[in-house]
Amino acid sequence: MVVMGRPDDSELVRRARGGDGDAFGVLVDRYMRAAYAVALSVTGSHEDAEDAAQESFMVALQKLEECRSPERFAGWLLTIVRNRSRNLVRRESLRDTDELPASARSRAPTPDRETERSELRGRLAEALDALPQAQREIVLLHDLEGWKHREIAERLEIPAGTVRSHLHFARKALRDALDESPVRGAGGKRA
Amino acid sequence: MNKVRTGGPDGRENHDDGLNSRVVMTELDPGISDSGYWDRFRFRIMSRAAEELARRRAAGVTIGDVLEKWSRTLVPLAAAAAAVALILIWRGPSIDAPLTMGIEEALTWDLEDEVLPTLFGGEAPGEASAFIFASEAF
Repeated sequence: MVVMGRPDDSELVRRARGGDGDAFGVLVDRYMRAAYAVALSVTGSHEDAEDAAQESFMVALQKLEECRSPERFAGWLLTIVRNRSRNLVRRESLRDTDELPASARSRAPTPDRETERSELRGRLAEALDALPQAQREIVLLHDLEGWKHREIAERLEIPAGTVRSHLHFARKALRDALDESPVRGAGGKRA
Repeated sequence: MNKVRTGGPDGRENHDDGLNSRVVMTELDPGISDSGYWDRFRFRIMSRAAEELARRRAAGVTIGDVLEKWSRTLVPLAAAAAAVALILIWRGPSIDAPLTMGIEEALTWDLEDEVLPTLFGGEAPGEASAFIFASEAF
Protein backbone atom coordinates (compact mmCIF):
# COMPACT_ATOMS: atom_id res chain seq x y z
CA MET A 1 0.00 0.00 0.00
CA VAL A 2 1.29 3.46 -0.87
CA VAL A 3 0.05 6.55 0.93
CA MET A 4 0.63 9.87 -0.83
CA GLY A 5 3.68 8.51 -2.66
CA ARG A 6 5.20 7.23 0.57
CA PRO A 7 5.41 3.44 0.45
CA ASP A 8 4.67 1.71 3.72
CA ASP A 9 7.10 -0.62 5.42
CA SER A 10 5.47 -3.84 4.25
CA GLU A 11 5.74 -2.76 0.62
CA LEU A 12 9.38 -1.73 1.11
CA VAL A 13 10.21 -5.01 2.86
CA ARG A 14 8.60 -6.99 0.05
CA ARG A 15 10.66 -5.13 -2.54
CA ALA A 16 13.85 -5.36 -0.49
CA ARG A 17 13.39 -9.13 -0.29
CA GLY A 18 13.67 -9.15 -4.05
CA GLY A 19 16.90 -7.16 -3.90
CA ASP A 20 15.49 -3.70 -4.54
CA GLY A 21 18.21 -1.38 -3.26
CA ASP A 22 16.02 1.72 -3.45
CA ALA A 23 13.42 0.13 -1.19
CA PHE A 24 16.05 -0.95 1.30
CA GLY A 25 17.53 2.54 1.16
CA VAL A 26 14.19 4.05 2.15
CA LEU A 27 14.02 1.69 5.12
CA VAL A 28 17.53 2.75 6.12
CA ASP A 29 16.61 6.43 5.80
CA ARG A 30 13.50 5.89 7.84
CA TYR A 31 15.03 4.00 10.75
CA MET A 32 18.78 4.65 10.93
CA ARG A 33 18.41 7.36 13.56
CA ALA A 34 16.07 5.26 15.66
CA ALA A 35 18.44 2.33 15.38
CA TYR A 36 21.28 4.53 16.53
CA ALA A 37 19.19 5.87 19.43
CA VAL A 38 18.28 2.38 20.62
CA ALA A 39 21.87 1.19 20.25
CA LEU A 40 23.08 4.23 22.18
CA SER A 41 20.57 3.50 24.92
CA VAL A 42 22.13 0.06 25.36
CA THR A 43 25.82 0.69 24.76
CA GLY A 44 26.18 4.23 26.05
CA SER A 45 28.97 4.68 23.54
CA HIS A 46 28.77 6.54 20.25
CA GLU A 47 31.18 4.22 18.47
CA ASP A 48 29.49 1.06 19.68
CA ALA A 49 26.05 2.45 18.90
CA GLU A 50 27.18 3.25 15.39
CA ASP A 51 28.61 -0.24 14.88
CA ALA A 52 25.60 -2.00 16.36
CA ALA A 53 23.10 0.04 14.36
CA GLN A 54 24.89 -0.49 11.06
CA GLU A 55 25.46 -4.16 11.75
CA SER A 56 21.79 -4.56 12.63
CA PHE A 57 20.71 -3.32 9.23
CA MET A 58 22.90 -5.96 7.63
CA VAL A 59 21.47 -8.68 9.84
CA ALA A 60 17.96 -7.45 9.11
CA LEU A 61 18.59 -7.59 5.36
CA GLN A 62 20.01 -11.09 5.57
CA LYS A 63 17.08 -12.30 7.68
CA LEU A 64 14.35 -10.37 5.95
CA GLU A 65 12.34 -13.53 5.33
CA GLU A 66 12.07 -13.98 9.10
CA CYS A 67 10.18 -10.72 9.43
CA ARG A 68 6.78 -12.38 9.61
CA SER A 69 4.87 -9.10 9.85
CA PRO A 70 6.53 -6.69 7.43
CA GLU A 71 4.20 -3.91 8.53
CA ARG A 72 5.94 -4.16 11.91
CA PHE A 73 9.40 -3.93 10.43
CA ALA A 74 10.45 -1.11 12.77
CA GLY A 75 9.79 -3.10 15.94
CA TRP A 76 11.49 -6.16 14.47
CA LEU A 77 14.54 -4.12 13.43
CA LEU A 78 14.84 -2.42 16.83
CA THR A 79 14.74 -5.82 18.53
CA ILE A 80 17.71 -6.83 16.40
CA VAL A 81 19.45 -3.57 17.30
CA ARG A 82 18.83 -4.15 21.00
CA ASN A 83 20.15 -7.71 20.87
CA ARG A 84 23.21 -6.81 18.80
CA SER A 85 23.98 -3.94 21.14
CA ARG A 86 23.73 -6.15 24.21
CA ASN A 87 26.00 -8.72 22.60
CA LEU A 88 28.48 -6.01 21.73
CA VAL A 89 28.51 -4.66 25.26
CA ARG A 90 28.94 -8.17 26.63
CA ARG A 91 31.83 -8.94 24.30
CA GLU A 92 33.53 -5.63 24.92
CA SER A 93 33.13 -5.83 28.68
CA LEU A 94 34.90 -9.19 28.60
CA ARG A 95 37.61 -7.88 26.31
CA ASP A 96 38.12 -4.65 28.23
CA THR A 97 38.56 -6.35 31.56
CA ASP A 98 42.09 -5.80 32.81
CA GLU A 99 43.03 -4.15 29.55
CA LEU A 100 42.18 -0.49 29.69
CA PRO A 101 41.29 2.02 32.33
CA ALA A 102 37.74 3.33 32.10
CA SER A 103 38.94 6.73 30.97
CA ALA A 104 40.57 5.22 27.88
CA ARG A 105 37.74 2.98 26.72
CA SER A 106 36.52 5.23 23.97
CA ARG A 107 38.00 3.99 20.69
CA ALA A 108 38.54 7.43 19.23
CA PRO A 109 39.51 10.40 21.32
CA THR A 110 36.96 13.17 21.34
CA PRO A 111 38.70 16.24 19.94
CA ASP A 112 36.42 18.70 21.69
CA ARG A 113 36.24 16.90 25.00
CA GLU A 114 37.00 20.08 26.83
CA THR A 115 34.46 22.15 25.04
CA GLU A 116 31.15 23.19 26.39
CA ARG A 117 29.27 20.81 24.15
CA SER A 118 31.36 17.89 25.19
CA GLU A 119 30.68 18.64 28.85
CA LEU A 120 26.99 18.64 28.23
CA ARG A 121 27.18 15.41 26.25
CA GLY A 122 29.07 13.80 29.04
CA ARG A 123 26.54 14.85 31.61
CA LEU A 124 23.68 13.68 29.44
CA ALA A 125 25.38 10.34 28.88
CA GLU A 126 25.92 9.84 32.57
CA ALA A 127 22.39 10.85 33.41
CA LEU A 128 21.08 8.46 30.78
CA ASP A 129 23.30 5.73 32.10
CA ALA A 130 21.50 5.90 35.43
CA LEU A 131 18.11 5.24 33.83
CA PRO A 132 16.55 1.81 33.42
CA GLN A 133 17.02 0.46 29.88
CA ALA A 134 13.36 0.82 28.87
CA GLN A 135 13.21 4.47 30.00
CA ARG A 136 16.50 5.23 28.32
CA GLU A 137 15.33 3.78 25.03
CA ILE A 138 12.00 5.56 25.09
CA VAL A 139 13.40 8.95 26.04
CA LEU A 140 16.00 8.69 23.27
CA LEU A 141 13.46 7.63 20.68
CA HIS A 142 11.17 10.46 21.71
CA ASP A 143 13.58 13.28 22.38
CA LEU A 144 16.47 12.41 20.10
CA GLU A 145 14.74 10.71 17.21
CA GLY A 146 11.49 12.63 17.54
CA TRP A 147 9.06 9.72 17.50
CA LYS A 148 5.60 10.35 18.92
CA HIS A 149 4.15 8.35 21.82
CA ARG A 150 1.90 6.50 19.42
CA GLU A 151 4.77 5.60 17.12
CA ILE A 152 6.89 4.33 19.99
CA ALA A 153 3.99 2.30 21.35
CA GLU A 154 3.22 0.75 17.98
CA ARG A 155 6.79 0.03 17.02
CA LEU A 156 7.94 -1.31 20.38
CA GLU A 157 4.57 -3.03 20.86
CA ILE A 158 3.95 -1.63 24.32
CA PRO A 159 0.92 0.28 25.60
CA ALA A 160 0.89 4.02 24.95
CA GLY A 161 0.31 4.63 28.66
CA THR A 162 3.51 2.78 29.46
CA VAL A 163 5.38 4.95 26.98
CA ARG A 164 4.09 8.14 28.60
CA SER A 165 4.88 6.84 32.05
CA HIS A 166 8.43 5.82 31.11
CA LEU A 167 8.97 9.15 29.41
CA HIS A 168 7.70 11.11 32.38
CA PHE A 169 9.93 9.35 34.89
CA ALA A 170 12.92 9.35 32.56
CA ARG A 171 12.72 13.10 32.06
CA LYS A 172 12.30 13.75 35.73
CA ALA A 173 15.30 11.58 36.56
CA LEU A 174 17.35 13.23 33.83
CA ARG A 175 16.54 16.73 35.00
CA ASP A 176 17.37 15.84 38.59
CA ALA A 177 20.64 14.21 37.56
CA LEU A 178 21.66 17.05 35.28
CA ASP A 179 20.87 19.66 37.90
CA GLU A 180 23.00 17.93 40.48
CA SER A 181 25.79 16.15 38.64
CA PRO A 182 29.23 17.67 38.23
CA VAL A 183 30.88 17.43 34.85
CA ARG A 184 32.61 14.08 34.52
CA GLY A 185 33.34 13.84 30.81
CA ALA A 186 31.70 11.67 28.23
CA GLY A 187 29.87 8.62 29.43
CA GLY A 188 31.64 5.30 29.34
CA LYS A 189 30.28 1.98 28.17
CA ARG A 190 27.81 -0.03 30.09
CA ALA A 191 28.88 -3.42 31.28
CA MET B 1 28.69 24.67 34.39
CA ASN B 2 26.36 24.58 31.43
CA LYS B 3 22.73 25.24 31.86
CA VAL B 4 20.73 22.40 30.40
CA ARG B 5 18.28 23.72 27.90
CA THR B 6 14.80 22.35 27.71
CA GLY B 7 12.48 22.11 24.75
CA GLY B 8 12.02 20.13 21.58
CA PRO B 9 14.72 19.25 19.10
CA ASP B 10 13.69 22.23 17.05
CA GLY B 11 13.97 24.54 20.03
CA ARG B 12 10.25 24.73 20.78
CA GLU B 13 8.82 23.83 24.12
CA ASN B 14 7.07 20.53 24.10
CA HIS B 15 3.46 20.66 25.24
CA ASP B 16 2.13 17.80 23.17
CA ASP B 17 1.71 15.35 26.01
CA GLY B 18 1.09 17.51 29.05
CA LEU B 19 4.36 16.40 30.55
CA ASN B 20 7.13 18.70 31.65
CA SER B 21 9.24 20.18 28.95
CA ARG B 22 11.69 17.73 27.50
CA VAL B 23 15.35 17.63 28.13
CA VAL B 24 17.23 18.34 24.99
CA MET B 25 18.88 15.21 23.68
CA THR B 26 20.06 16.66 20.44
CA GLU B 27 23.54 17.04 21.89
CA LEU B 28 23.78 13.27 21.57
CA ASP B 29 22.93 13.43 17.87
CA PRO B 30 26.19 12.96 15.94
CA GLY B 31 24.65 14.85 13.05
CA ILE B 32 24.49 18.07 15.04
CA SER B 33 28.19 18.79 14.91
CA ASP B 34 28.81 16.92 11.66
CA SER B 35 26.31 17.71 8.95
CA GLY B 36 27.46 14.86 6.71
CA TYR B 37 27.34 12.25 9.44
CA TRP B 38 24.01 10.62 8.55
CA ASP B 39 24.83 10.58 4.84
CA ARG B 40 28.03 8.69 5.57
CA PHE B 41 26.18 6.43 8.00
CA ARG B 42 23.66 5.54 5.30
CA PHE B 43 26.36 5.16 2.65
CA ARG B 44 28.25 2.65 4.78
CA ILE B 45 25.12 0.55 5.29
CA MET B 46 24.21 0.64 1.61
CA SER B 47 27.75 -0.23 0.56
CA ARG B 48 27.77 -3.26 2.80
CA ALA B 49 24.27 -4.21 1.69
CA ALA B 50 25.10 -4.11 -2.03
CA GLU B 51 26.36 -7.69 -2.18
CA GLU B 52 23.37 -9.13 -0.36
CA LEU B 53 20.96 -7.12 -2.49
CA ALA B 54 22.68 -8.38 -5.66
CA ARG B 55 22.46 -11.94 -4.37
CA ARG B 56 18.76 -11.48 -3.74
CA ARG B 57 18.20 -10.10 -7.23
CA ALA B 58 20.04 -13.05 -8.75
CA ALA B 59 18.18 -15.55 -6.60
CA GLY B 60 14.94 -13.92 -7.61
CA VAL B 61 15.04 -15.58 -11.04
CA THR B 62 13.96 -19.11 -10.15
CA ILE B 63 12.51 -22.03 -12.08
CA GLY B 64 9.20 -21.03 -10.61
CA ASP B 65 9.52 -17.58 -12.14
CA VAL B 66 10.34 -19.07 -15.54
CA LEU B 67 7.35 -21.41 -15.33
CA GLU B 68 5.20 -18.54 -14.23
CA LYS B 69 6.27 -16.53 -17.28
CA TRP B 70 5.53 -19.47 -19.54
CA SER B 71 2.20 -20.02 -17.92
CA ARG B 72 1.30 -16.42 -18.62
CA THR B 73 1.54 -17.22 -22.34
CA LEU B 74 0.38 -20.81 -22.33
CA VAL B 75 -2.69 -20.46 -20.17
CA PRO B 76 -4.44 -17.93 -22.45
CA LEU B 77 -3.53 -20.00 -25.49
CA ALA B 78 -4.90 -23.17 -23.90
CA ALA B 79 -8.02 -21.33 -22.87
CA ALA B 80 -8.51 -20.03 -26.41
CA ALA B 81 -8.01 -23.51 -27.85
CA ALA B 82 -10.48 -24.98 -25.40
CA ALA B 83 -13.00 -22.31 -26.30
CA VAL B 84 -12.65 -23.05 -30.01
CA ALA B 85 -13.03 -26.78 -29.35
CA LEU B 86 -16.15 -26.20 -27.30
CA ILE B 87 -17.66 -24.09 -30.02
CA LEU B 88 -16.98 -26.78 -32.62
CA ILE B 89 -18.45 -29.51 -30.42
CA TRP B 90 -21.48 -27.40 -29.69
CA ARG B 91 -22.14 -26.76 -33.37
CA GLY B 92 -21.89 -30.49 -34.25
CA PRO B 93 -20.64 -32.01 -37.56
CA SER B 94 -21.41 -29.95 -40.62
CA ILE B 95 -23.43 -31.48 -43.50
CA ASP B 96 -21.12 -29.93 -45.98
CA ALA B 97 -18.09 -31.21 -44.25
CA PRO B 98 -16.00 -33.52 -46.44
CA LEU B 99 -16.10 -37.21 -45.65
CA THR B 100 -13.05 -38.54 -44.01
CA MET B 101 -11.60 -41.94 -44.81
CA GLY B 102 -8.58 -43.96 -43.95
CA ILE B 103 -5.70 -44.67 -46.32
CA GLU B 104 -6.78 -48.29 -46.98
CA GLU B 105 -10.29 -47.18 -47.66
CA ALA B 106 -9.05 -44.51 -50.03
CA LEU B 107 -6.95 -47.05 -51.96
CA THR B 108 -9.80 -49.49 -52.42
CA TRP B 109 -12.48 -46.90 -52.92
CA ASP B 110 -14.62 -47.67 -55.99
CA LEU B 111 -12.27 -50.45 -57.25
CA GLU B 112 -14.58 -53.49 -56.87
CA ASP B 113 -16.34 -52.96 -60.20
CA GLU B 114 -13.10 -52.82 -62.09
CA VAL B 115 -11.33 -55.81 -60.58
CA LEU B 116 -12.52 -58.50 -62.96
CA PRO B 117 -12.11 -56.51 -66.16
CA THR B 118 -8.65 -55.55 -65.03
CA LEU B 119 -7.87 -59.16 -64.12
CA PHE B 120 -8.78 -60.48 -67.57
CA GLY B 121 -7.08 -57.60 -69.33
CA GLY B 122 -9.99 -56.83 -71.55
CA GLU B 123 -12.51 -54.17 -71.89
CA ALA B 124 -15.40 -56.37 -73.03
CA PRO B 125 -17.43 -58.04 -70.40
CA GLY B 126 -18.31 -60.86 -72.86
CA GLU B 127 -14.87 -62.45 -72.56
CA ALA B 128 -15.29 -62.91 -68.86
CA SER B 129 -18.68 -64.52 -69.34
CA ALA B 130 -17.25 -66.97 -71.89
CA PHE B 131 -14.51 -67.90 -69.46
CA ILE B 132 -17.03 -68.60 -66.70
CA PHE B 133 -19.16 -70.61 -69.08
CA ALA B 134 -16.21 -72.67 -70.28
CA SER B 135 -15.00 -73.42 -66.78
CA GLU B 136 -18.42 -74.60 -65.72
CA ALA B 137 -18.79 -76.76 -68.83
CA PHE B 138 -15.57 -78.72 -68.15
